Amino acid sequence: MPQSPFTILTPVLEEHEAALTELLRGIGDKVMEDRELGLSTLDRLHYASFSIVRGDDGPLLVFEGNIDGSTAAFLEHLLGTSPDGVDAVYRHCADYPALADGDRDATLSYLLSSDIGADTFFVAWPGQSLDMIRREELLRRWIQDFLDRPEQAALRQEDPVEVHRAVVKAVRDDPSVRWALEAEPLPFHVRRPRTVLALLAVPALAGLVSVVVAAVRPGPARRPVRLVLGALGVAAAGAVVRLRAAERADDQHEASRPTDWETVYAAWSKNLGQFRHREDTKGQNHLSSIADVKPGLFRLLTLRSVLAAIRAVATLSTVRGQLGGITSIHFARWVITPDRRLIFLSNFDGSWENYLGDFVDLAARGLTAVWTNTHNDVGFPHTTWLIEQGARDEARFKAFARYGMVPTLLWYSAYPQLSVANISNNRAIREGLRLPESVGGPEFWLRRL
Amino acid sequence: MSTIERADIQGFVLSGYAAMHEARYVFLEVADPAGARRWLGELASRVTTAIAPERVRCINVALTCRGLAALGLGEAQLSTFAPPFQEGMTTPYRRRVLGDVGPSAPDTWAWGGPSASGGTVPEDRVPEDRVPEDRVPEDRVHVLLLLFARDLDAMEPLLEAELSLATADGAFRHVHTLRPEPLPGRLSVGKFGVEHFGFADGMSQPVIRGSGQDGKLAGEEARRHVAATGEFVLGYPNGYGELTPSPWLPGPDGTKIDVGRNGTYLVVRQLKQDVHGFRELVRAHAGAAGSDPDAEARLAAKLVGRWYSGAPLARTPHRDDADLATDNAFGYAEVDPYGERCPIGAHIRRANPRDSIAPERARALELTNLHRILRRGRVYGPELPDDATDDDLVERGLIFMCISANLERQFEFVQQTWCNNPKFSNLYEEQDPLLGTPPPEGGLFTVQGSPIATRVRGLTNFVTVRGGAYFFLPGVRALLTLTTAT
Amino acid sequence: MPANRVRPSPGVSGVGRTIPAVRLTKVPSTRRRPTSLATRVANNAALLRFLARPLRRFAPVLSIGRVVVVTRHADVVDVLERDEDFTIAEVNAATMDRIDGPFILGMDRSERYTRERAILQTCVHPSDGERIREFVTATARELVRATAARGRIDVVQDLVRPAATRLVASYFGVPGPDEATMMRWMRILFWEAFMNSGGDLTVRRAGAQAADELHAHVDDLITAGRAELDRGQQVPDTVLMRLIKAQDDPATRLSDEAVRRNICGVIVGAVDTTNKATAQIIDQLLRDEGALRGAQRAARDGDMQAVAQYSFEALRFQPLNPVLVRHVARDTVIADGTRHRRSVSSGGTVYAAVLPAMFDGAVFGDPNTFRHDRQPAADLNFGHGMHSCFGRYVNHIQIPELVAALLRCDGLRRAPGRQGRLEFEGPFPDRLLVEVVDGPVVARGRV
Repeated sequence: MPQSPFTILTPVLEEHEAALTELLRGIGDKVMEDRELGLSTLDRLHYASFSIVRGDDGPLLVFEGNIDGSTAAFLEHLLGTSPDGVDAVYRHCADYPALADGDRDATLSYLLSSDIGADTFFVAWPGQSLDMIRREELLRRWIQDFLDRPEQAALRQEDPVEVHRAVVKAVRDDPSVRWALEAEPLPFHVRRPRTVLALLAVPALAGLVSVVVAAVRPGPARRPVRLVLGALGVAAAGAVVRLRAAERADDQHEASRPTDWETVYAAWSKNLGQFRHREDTKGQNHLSSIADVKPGLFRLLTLRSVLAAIRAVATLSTVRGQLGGITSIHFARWVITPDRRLIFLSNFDGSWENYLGDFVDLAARGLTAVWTNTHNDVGFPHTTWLIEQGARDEARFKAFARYGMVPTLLWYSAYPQLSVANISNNRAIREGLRLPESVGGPEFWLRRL
Repeated sequence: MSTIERADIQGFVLSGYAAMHEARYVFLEVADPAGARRWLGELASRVTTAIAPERVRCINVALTCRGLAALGLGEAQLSTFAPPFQEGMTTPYRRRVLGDVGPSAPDTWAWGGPSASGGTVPEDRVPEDRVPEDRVPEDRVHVLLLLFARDLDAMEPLLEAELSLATADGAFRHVHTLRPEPLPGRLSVGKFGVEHFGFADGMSQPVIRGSGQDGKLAGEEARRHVAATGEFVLGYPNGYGELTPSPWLPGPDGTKIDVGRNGTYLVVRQLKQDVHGFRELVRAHAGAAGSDPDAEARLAAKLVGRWYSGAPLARTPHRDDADLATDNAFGYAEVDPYGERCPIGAHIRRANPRDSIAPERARALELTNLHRILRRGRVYGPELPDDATDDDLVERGLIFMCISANLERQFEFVQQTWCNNPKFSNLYEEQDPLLGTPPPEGGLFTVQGSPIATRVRGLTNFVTVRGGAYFFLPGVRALLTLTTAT
Repeated sequence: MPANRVRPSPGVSGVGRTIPAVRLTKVPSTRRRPTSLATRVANNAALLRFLARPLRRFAPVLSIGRVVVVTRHADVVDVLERDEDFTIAEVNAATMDRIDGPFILGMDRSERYTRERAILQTCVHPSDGERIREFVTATARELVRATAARGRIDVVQDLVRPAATRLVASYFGVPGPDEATMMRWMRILFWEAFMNSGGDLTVRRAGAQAADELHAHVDDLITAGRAELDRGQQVPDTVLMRLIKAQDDPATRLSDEAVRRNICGVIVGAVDTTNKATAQIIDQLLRDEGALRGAQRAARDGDMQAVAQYSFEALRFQPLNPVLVRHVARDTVIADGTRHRRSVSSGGTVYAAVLPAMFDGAVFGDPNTFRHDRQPAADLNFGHGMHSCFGRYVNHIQIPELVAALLRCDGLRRAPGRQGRLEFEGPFPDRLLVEVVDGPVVARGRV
């Protein structure tokens, strides 16, 4: 089942911000026990968060969801299970048609029409449903408990092939885990990314070749093709020139700022406490941040192109469970709001310091290409050629990112005890049970336990 | 790059003063700000710098954020210091980051914990001339005077003289003193000190580029452990080739006076060790490491990642090899990717995963070296005899000290992302077997092996934090600046 | 084999550690592993010589990405001598660790390298040469005699591997539980340590297992040797026993583990390397009628000096290691002061191509001609610099003796057809069949 994101952005009624904040924080403090919104009872919800961001016309409520299946189906289900909870939250938002008023379709379409989705959406393991993740974790524990039993001590002297055989037999004999021996494959493009790439590459190459041929060979197409290619070249050159001009303008702006960024950040840093309210309380964390897209159409277009490129890379990646080498992201998205702000929402393993460190160490170029198009009072570090320098300025980039953060008022994770690596490993254990060669043979399969 | 300014750097940054067998760590509370500043200003001329090793005595000094405030620095000035230093070690967030929960929670610390009243402790509770048994809350820990002397004969007059200077005219109140065991103590075959669990300690240290020590190390070891100067001293390029943000004070005409240059941050933590508990666990679970007489030593080595002598498991997986006791040029990626020699969760593999944290070995080493700390610990409390059958209930442990220019990226990162992280390196639910705070039902430790891993359960709290604070260890010039600023 | 002290097999339980017996029955087979193209190219010296020629001429220091190939003699020597710029730990340390533990071959200049190398050095005596020569001569004669009657000798299996294995037993003091096991250990360990850069899993597993078995075995030898010494028993004078005796003096004391890893490190390089060199020498001599006749004459005259010259000149054409690998530890320059100087940056890999260097006309006049009396001799056969072959003093004696034992047979020629071709198992010669009319003739002037 495919995973989808929703980002429901609704204006908060004036004077209601404090009450809404309090309400969401209250639910967030006991999110697993809460039955009003009942997030922990929803079997298609991986992660959800609520936060309030600044909009041009006042505060906006951001409701982020990472779900199995479609947004419409999920919301419909949510409205059915938690009508009071949804009303309690959204009655603080402008023009909200409450469920209590009886027009469920109106409520649903209110939420759906406020959903701005995601410009770039990343899922560590596309196709892996919440149900699979939970079952495969149970399976891992089951197998480990089986191997740890005193009566299985003799297995320690056995060949890996024999141990594997013994586990398979035990799994088959127990109805509670027998399902694990049946195939439950991930989508084709996740299992066979190279095949997909090859299939896409063939027409792309063919197209490229025919364009080149058309441009070279005499014929009626030659002139128009050359004109188009020439125009494209001019446009590309123009874009580069424009980009460098924009970057130089940024440098000038930086040179003329009244207060330097370190002072701005130092003064602001006492606000850190409100982000850390819930940071690092479990193995995973949530990051919501917002930054203004720099003025002008050019920056907006550049940002959209970069996000499209990252989306393509994330979709066609041959190595799953990572984005740009970062292996701790469960779900992440960038979304551009109608009032030109870039929101970044991410659910990740480990600490903020580790996450941002990975940004700098592993994915600085890609992230520079995104955030160099935005700014806040700290300002994005000096960038050249869209991807160079930028996030490599570790201290300033981290300050920029911290400064842009928005307190997450309510955050829900369906499996806070599992890391991306754990989920991948569980998946491999399950696959290797049936087909040990898929993970390198019984010896390597056992190393995963 | 230019060489480092030794004359301005406190000696403790570059040396653990191994020749100074006695050490006293004296905590002072500012009583009279003006007098305290005067004393610090005078102390600047006595502070041991990194120019040359002293032969008889060394003096270094460090301050907490509260100490700087007590000297008269304002909020705006303090805000230029690193956030963890400003916040201190005991906020709810930092407790989570550092794993100071349960028995290690700051509320029970002997020193550095949050003050019960939220304000200063009443004067009569801690008389100024007495080293109190009572708790010393963090708002009374202002200045740390680090005194070192060749022997007890040299230490006694030094301690007396410095204390009387500090407390003269009521400038400071003396609130606490930590007294580590005299060196050399027990030595391993490799001539390194042995900590209370019985392991040689202190072999693996980063080497500061430009410190003169980088040239002394042999080939591969140097290549693995040399780190940028700015990782340990502010004002020099760090591992990213950038300058780590440095604290400053406003100067005349809107200029900034950099008070960070040649200074750094110092972490001090008093770590109590449950030696008896550790030995009990090893005895009870030795079977997990084999059925032979060496099994106990082997399990202990599996938990730590080195044998008692210090020889790394990655190099000699089956038995201790005294000739490898000081070996520090090893990695994990090529030799032991699955932890079958040195378990993935072993203490030294967590505290420094070397070349194993990224797919490419050389890159992994670079990344790991962005999270190094310089350790300056000394053992305290008497040894528990090897043949002790019961716990003698005497407190013993390690006065852990470490130096890093970026507390968040170095010390706290190691503590949080490597040592205490249950998800470290694809693990599921275990913490550092020595440092971690296991759940009440007992902690888990996985010993990877062929064909299947062995899980050791029932780990208890072997290390309990008894005190701690973040300090700023300024350069000598900066020390003078700080004492003249208001 | 009077000096061959074969003790009853101690089984596989080493001191303080048991290896699950069941795993022993399943030795991963490395036989019939498809030989990779890279290995086949590396085994084909003629092809390498051909490929290297334009390189040496037009791109003596070829740098592609982070890889640098050096082909001229002066530059190769220079790279191998600058052991602090071009280091070996990154290349060898991990593999040494995997199969043995730290050994000098994987160490750069360091205190431990100096100490352990010095201790090893004190345990091999200059006077050992005569003893080695006598042992090898006798063993080789016996082995050749045993098979020559059939009219066919497999140079690899009938002569060189058993002879080298027996020398390991008698001189180094490490007899195997039986000869076949020992030969298997030596082969797979050397393969895993130095030839498995591709990380072939079968080889890796077999290597790990062989390492466990060998270590347990040698641990037992050390314990037993120590016990015999302590009881004041007469012990054979072997390198291993000398290392154990050296433990009595703190200055030369190695821990038991260190004795084990040092002796194992030495012997792993003492069997299949000798095999490869000898087989390739014979193969090369058989290709060159004139060289063969000259070498035979020298062998029968008992002129071992000349046999050695013929042997190592033949080895020049098919050297043991066509290239040696080093890591670039710091930014530096290769071939400084020449027109082909090149900067290399740290983190790269240098291939010091020994084979083309030994065909460098600037040093070797008329390089493509076989000249046994060439000055200088083919000096890179045993490497160069601090990591040159530790056993060269042994093999300067052993290899010519093994070669001579064959050369003394009447009617020595390659077996006809496919069988006469040098065959490899992975990187090692596995078979080279030759035909003889009669057994070895005793060299004139010798007993």
